[in-house]
Amino acid sequence: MTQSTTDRRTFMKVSAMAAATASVAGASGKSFALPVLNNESQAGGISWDKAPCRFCGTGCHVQVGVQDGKVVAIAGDLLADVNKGLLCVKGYHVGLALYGDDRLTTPLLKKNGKHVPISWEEAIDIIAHRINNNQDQFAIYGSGQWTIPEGYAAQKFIKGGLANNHIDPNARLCMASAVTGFIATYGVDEPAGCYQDLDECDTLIMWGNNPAEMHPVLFSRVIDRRSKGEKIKLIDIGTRRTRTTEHCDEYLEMQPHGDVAILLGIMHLLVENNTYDSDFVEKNCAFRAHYEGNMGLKGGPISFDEYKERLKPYTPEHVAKLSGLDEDKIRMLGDLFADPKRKITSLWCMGVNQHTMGTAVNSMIHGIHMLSGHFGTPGDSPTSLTGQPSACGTAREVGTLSHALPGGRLVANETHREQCEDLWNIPRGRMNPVPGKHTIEMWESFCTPTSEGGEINTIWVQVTNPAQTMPNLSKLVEAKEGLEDKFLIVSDVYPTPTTAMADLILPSAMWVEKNGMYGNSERRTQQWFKMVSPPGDARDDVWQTIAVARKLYELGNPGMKDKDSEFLFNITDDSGNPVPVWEWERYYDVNVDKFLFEEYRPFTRLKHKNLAPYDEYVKARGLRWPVVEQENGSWRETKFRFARFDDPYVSPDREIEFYHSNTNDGRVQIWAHDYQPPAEVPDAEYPLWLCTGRVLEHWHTGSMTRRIPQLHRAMPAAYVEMHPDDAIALNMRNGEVVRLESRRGSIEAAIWTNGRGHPPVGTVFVPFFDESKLINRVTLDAHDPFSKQPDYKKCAVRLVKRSS
Amino acid sequence: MELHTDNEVQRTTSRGLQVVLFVIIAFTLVGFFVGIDQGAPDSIEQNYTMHNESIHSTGVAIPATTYREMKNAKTSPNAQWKSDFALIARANTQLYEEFTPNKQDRLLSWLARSEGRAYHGAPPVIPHATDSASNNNCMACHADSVRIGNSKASSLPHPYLASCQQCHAPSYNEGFSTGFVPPTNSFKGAEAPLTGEIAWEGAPPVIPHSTLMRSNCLACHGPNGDQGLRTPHPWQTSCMQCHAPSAELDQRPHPTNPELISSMISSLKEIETSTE
Repeated sequence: MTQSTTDRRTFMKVSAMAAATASVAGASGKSFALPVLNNESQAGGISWDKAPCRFCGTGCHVQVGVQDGKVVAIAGDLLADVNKGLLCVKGYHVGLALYGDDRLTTPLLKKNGKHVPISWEEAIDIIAHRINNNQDQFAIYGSGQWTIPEGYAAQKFIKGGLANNHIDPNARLCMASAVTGFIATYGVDEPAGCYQDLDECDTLIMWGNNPAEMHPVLFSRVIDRRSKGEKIKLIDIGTRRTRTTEHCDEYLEMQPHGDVAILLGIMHLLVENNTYDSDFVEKNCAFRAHYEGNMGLKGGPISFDEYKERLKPYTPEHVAKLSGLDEDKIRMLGDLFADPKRKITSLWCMGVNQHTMGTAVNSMIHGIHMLSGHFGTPGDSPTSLTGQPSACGTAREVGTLSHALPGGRLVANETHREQCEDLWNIPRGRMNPVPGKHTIEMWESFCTPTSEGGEINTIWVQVTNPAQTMPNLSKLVEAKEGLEDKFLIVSDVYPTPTTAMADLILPSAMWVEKNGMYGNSERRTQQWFKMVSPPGDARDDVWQTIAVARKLYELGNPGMKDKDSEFLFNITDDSGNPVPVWEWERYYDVNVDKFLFEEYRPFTRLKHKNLAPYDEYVKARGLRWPVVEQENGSWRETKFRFARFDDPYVSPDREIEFYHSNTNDGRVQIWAHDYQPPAEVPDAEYPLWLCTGRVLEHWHTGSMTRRIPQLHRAMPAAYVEMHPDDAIALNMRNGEVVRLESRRGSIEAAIWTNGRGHPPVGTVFVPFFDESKLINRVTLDAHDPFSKQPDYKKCAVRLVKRSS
Repeated sequence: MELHTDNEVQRTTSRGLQVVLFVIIAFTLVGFFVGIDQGAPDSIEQNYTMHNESIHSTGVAIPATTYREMKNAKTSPNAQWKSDFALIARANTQLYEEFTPNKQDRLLSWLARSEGRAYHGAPPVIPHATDSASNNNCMACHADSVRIGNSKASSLPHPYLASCQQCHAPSYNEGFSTGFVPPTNSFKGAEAPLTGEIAWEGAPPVIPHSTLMRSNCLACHGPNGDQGLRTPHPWQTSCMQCHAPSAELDQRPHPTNPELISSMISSLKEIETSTE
């Protein structure tokens, strides 16, 4: 009874908040004022409101239909520029993700090997004491699915409060190489272009990318142009045939790491044939490489002559040998980039990022676009796609990485720390100058006995499932079992392999059960309101973080106080009166998301990633930063960065300006790297390549989508996709369950020949969504030296019949 | 002497033959059991319903011919057999024939449609096995509506979009054995109304669903549509002349606040110009 009264009160607050903001929106009459559908609608008793989809980094907007306090329908949002009313099969069924019958509804503590219900007070108390006693051994493992305020609260709590930098997101496994690629090339993170490039390009090159399944709305945005009679050349460069390949004019099948060689080959041809864009290069580019004394992320400068010299070995003949492509295909790619009339957009995602040369491949894709001048106009764009809905918004922009601070700042930079200390109103010098442990180090340390130097003894996991997604699981996660002094806290919505291992489970609210903000692949910041109540005693992740911080404050932890001895999260209402939001009943008395977002906004200006006030996002279906205030008080988003025709920060005397250039002269860096072979290559003992990845129907580890019947039926279990000739040679047949082994572990799964994807002879593919077939027991933890992102796309395995 | 030798040879040959046969049979048997033991695929677990037939099909399946009978089985056209694909496509397309819908058909269609959708407005799942790798095959049947006996393939209610399985999930997968039985889901989707709102007895019903992605009315309501959804007047093809869509469901400006309306219109205009 009390529960339902609270719910109703909460609801009235939320509705009032939404209504108030919407009326402000309407009155201002801005050009992008897009109010939500009528909340008081009578049509079937369903009220509709906007939200970005819960799943991938595309960032589609959906209309959520709510009736009697439950989500009952979903529609593609017609006013959303990203998806223009269309969704994918996950998006259409996103509402069902809330209603799996085994939602976590109460905090659970592991006692004698069993999870038993405890109260929230007890749970918060346990965490606070645990942290207070081991402040430096505590770590937070977060997510690119954290909302912006969730990531911001965790970031401020640990780096600003506890002076501890051990915070890293699962995005480390997902887009860290994209970040280092951008930093090495542009000096600043995130794409210059936007999805409009997909409408305007006439050539689309996909590098190890399967957008037909992973970013379906973006892919159909391109191929549906063909139905309208437009001519677009699609080129798929990859290691197996996928649904994407089916729509492509060219399928260029490469050997693993062939991408490095192909990129060098294209550069070689452009320089050798003198077909590069000398005007663009002269005005806008500098050259960069690693050499003795300059082996860091940003390398050192080289001359154009030296750059040419480094490319010399990468003749089409040599590249053909390294990549497995025919020489004429390499020349074809060289000619494409040499053609100034073409509009070329490159797309890439995990194939390039999850790569032991991830930083190098990322920067060289940018490099071929710069060298050939295919940059800076709509349709000519190197476009890095991101996997998670807020990998950009939360992980990259809020900087919830072990080495980063909000707004593109770095832990190791004293000025940056001081700026944060001032903005957070905490004493100068409190923050820790040493970067924290990145994902692999964090988990390795957690799984190492304290007596053997494993210093991390408590990890709090939010919004992710590392016991399924970490590479080399038995070493990096499962080895925690039996280490008595290690303590794993997991906030999640459903039971997962990670909650199974957890010492303490916290039930969380998800998606439209809470207020939220995401930032998608094209720099678009999005906002939504809470529409329904979470089940049982599940609560918002932001609340959980603030409640623990408050408990630490009460325990006298000095880090939880700012310079004026106020609580770190001193959240106030419109009249400036503090609201005790750490009391759950009071949490929705004020819009905590809005408060935290406004606190975060000043951080975003240093790197010209300006965000608009919260209320602007209420009106819009997302806005792409930098969002700059105009003279008339309106806010203008930016579609194309670094190009004067659209980016207000480019100097008036330049067409293109990379205003965060690593050489401080507005120039972008074109890199030359050297080909290196993959970390593990098939041999006589383990003769097959293994590539892992996702499928259309499931979101990452399937903890949500496998509870949606329509999606589960379509893709019920993981499989080993392989070439029929390999199956014949091994005397295995379609549907046969076999054991797949590597040097690190094994799984059993059924073989699928001529299935959804078609790997070449010598390669198998296994998706990672299936928790009953943990393929990451098989993968290896070799990672890129700069991004620390592991390579999930290639390791050596063998298949063994079960009876032997 | 020669005869004797011949007999001898014959006897030796037949004994040899017996041995050879024995070896072959033994080998086959051993091979059979080893084969079964080794790599027999796990049984395919079906923890889902297959929606192979629409709910009001005859339900009479033609029994499959066993391998033993195959040799002597007569193959001939069945009652539904047609020699020309075009004939199949055109079957039952009586454009000018008046059609009186009945309540039972309407209920059955409603049930069949609800079964294939998570909620009113969701894209239907694919009620048959698909080629997982490709989308091209879909248009073979779904480009124009096809009816074979009681099975039908609807034409697209929306403009052609090239990536069919982006939105339509197969409800049937080749089904590899799985150790995971998903927990039940208590989502209760919005229900489709049985009919559109009618202002007075005899008024044309308003359209009870969004017309986004459902702009080709005849795909479902035409002569090849589901029995319970068919229009009683198939010769009239300007549907929205009489049947009004819902601005709300179509996400068009509809709130009462004029300021909101004008801001939405200007936003729409901006989107239009930016996408032109």
